[in-house]
Amino acid sequence: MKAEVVSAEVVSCEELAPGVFYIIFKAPYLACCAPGNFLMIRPGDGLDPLLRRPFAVFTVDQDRVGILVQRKGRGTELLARCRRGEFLNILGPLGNSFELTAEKIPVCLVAGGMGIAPLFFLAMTLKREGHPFRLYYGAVSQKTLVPVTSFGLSAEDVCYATDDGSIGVHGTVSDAVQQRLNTDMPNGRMFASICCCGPVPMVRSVCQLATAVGLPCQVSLEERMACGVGACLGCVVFCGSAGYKRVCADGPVFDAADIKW
Amino acid sequence: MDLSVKIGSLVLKNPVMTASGTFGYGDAYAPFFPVGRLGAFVTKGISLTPAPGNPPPRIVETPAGMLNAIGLQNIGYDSFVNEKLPGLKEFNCPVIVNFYGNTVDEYVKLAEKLSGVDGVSALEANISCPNIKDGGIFFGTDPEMAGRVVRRIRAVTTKSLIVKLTPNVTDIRPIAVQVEAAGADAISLTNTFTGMVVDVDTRRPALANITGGLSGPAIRPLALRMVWDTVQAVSIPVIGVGGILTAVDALQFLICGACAVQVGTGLFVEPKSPPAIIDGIAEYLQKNGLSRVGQVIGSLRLENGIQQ
Repeated sequence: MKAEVVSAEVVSCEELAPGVFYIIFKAPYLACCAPGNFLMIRPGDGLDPLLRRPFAVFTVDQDRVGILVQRKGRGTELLARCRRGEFLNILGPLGNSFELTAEKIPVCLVAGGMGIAPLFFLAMTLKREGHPFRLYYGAVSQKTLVPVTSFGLSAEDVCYATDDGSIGVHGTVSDAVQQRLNTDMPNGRMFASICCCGPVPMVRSVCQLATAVGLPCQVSLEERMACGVGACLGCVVFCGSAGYKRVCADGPVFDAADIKW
Repeated sequence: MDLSVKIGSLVLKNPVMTASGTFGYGDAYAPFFPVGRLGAFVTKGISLTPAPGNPPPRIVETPAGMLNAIGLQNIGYDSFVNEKLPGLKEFNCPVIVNFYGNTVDEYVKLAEKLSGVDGVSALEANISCPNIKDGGIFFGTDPEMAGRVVRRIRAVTTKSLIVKLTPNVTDIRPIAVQVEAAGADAISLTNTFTGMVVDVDTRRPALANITGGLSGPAIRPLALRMVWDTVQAVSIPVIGVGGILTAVDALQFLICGACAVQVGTGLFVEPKSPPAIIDGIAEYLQKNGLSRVGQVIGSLRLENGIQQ
């Protein structure tokens, strides 16, 4: 899909977890995007903050597109305050998307923190297509989790992991996945591949785990961005002999084997 | 409405170009507006051999601006000519190839090679680089060295030669004067201003390279003042760059005497800013009862009536 600049009317902005906001806007043009695609959104009309902020598409429902915004800095602070009826200046859809095989062998989705955004969209897409999956979703504690079962996933779809053990596995999400793969392996492979997104230490650990058990793994990365369209070369990730690749245009979804952590 | 401007032997249909490093090799913003609308576009800086660029983080936002330490990552001359240049001809827009070297010889060799290639309308020499053979002094910060490198480039090319100046200098005028004397057809300025950001939580520089180049609206008054200084010091065309986002921004530079402008960081904010600026300049001429952009260029009114 060709990227465009659109003016999208905000439908709602709701705090789902402390500091994490779910913003839904009307954007029929963007509704045809694929899981993994992201949007570059202006934080306001002015020149400061200057740059657009990147957000993975979290939900799509007819002409309504939703994103998750975590209040971190000045840009996200402004966006988190948007109200119904206001308009957002959005550049998108951008980037590539997760690739799935035609055969419906189960996929292991691993989300850490805000990494839930693109993976939730992927999970819902897989659900709609009847493609089996399991979502491993980790966060600091239960109250920092985005309530994914309120947005269309069922309890059986999700396995939680929390640092404080308030829900699910007491530990990191990569621990939870490791445990699962360990119990699976003697009986043969349950998952065809892994798709992950989250903080760097988490994705690095999941990618290494995938390599260790020989599972193909796709990772959606995040990096500071300026242009979002592949022009400025600001958002690169190191890929060894292939040099520096752009997270916005060559990604954000990469084959884990290509990333040189 | 005549928006055309002349730079050396190059005639541009309007004074709006995109800046090097913000438009890739011409393809990046093609989905947003017909590239053929531009007066010209300037490619990413090319070096003789591919350059990998700096490790990330390469960028960080600053008040009304951003720092970049991309590190001049580019595919190198061979790949540019074989893979990118052929496709650029279809844009129906002059292609200005920005290039740089680490030594005077590299600038000369590259200029020579680029001059022999079809599809290159003009060259823009980025002299904001360190001369690694001369203790790393930036070519563009020393009038004598700037003159020397431009003279050697001039000797090997008959293409329109634009020289892009760094603003990280005490006085841009002597440098501009030497560059003109050395045979440049035009001067573009400014490149980025060296800056720095520290993350106070980690106590580390925000950029892996520690420092980077500042661009965006924050630098516009600085760039504008240096364009004004330069216009008074030389007779060759001056191209203004630095924080231009709207037609009003561009007009400030034109009124000060720039014959054309480049939009860089502005593209990131609004991908359609170049055509909006072109249309805005035309509207301004209309509103002011003017028919040619040339009537606005250098029309700054000063109290004692001095104009360019």
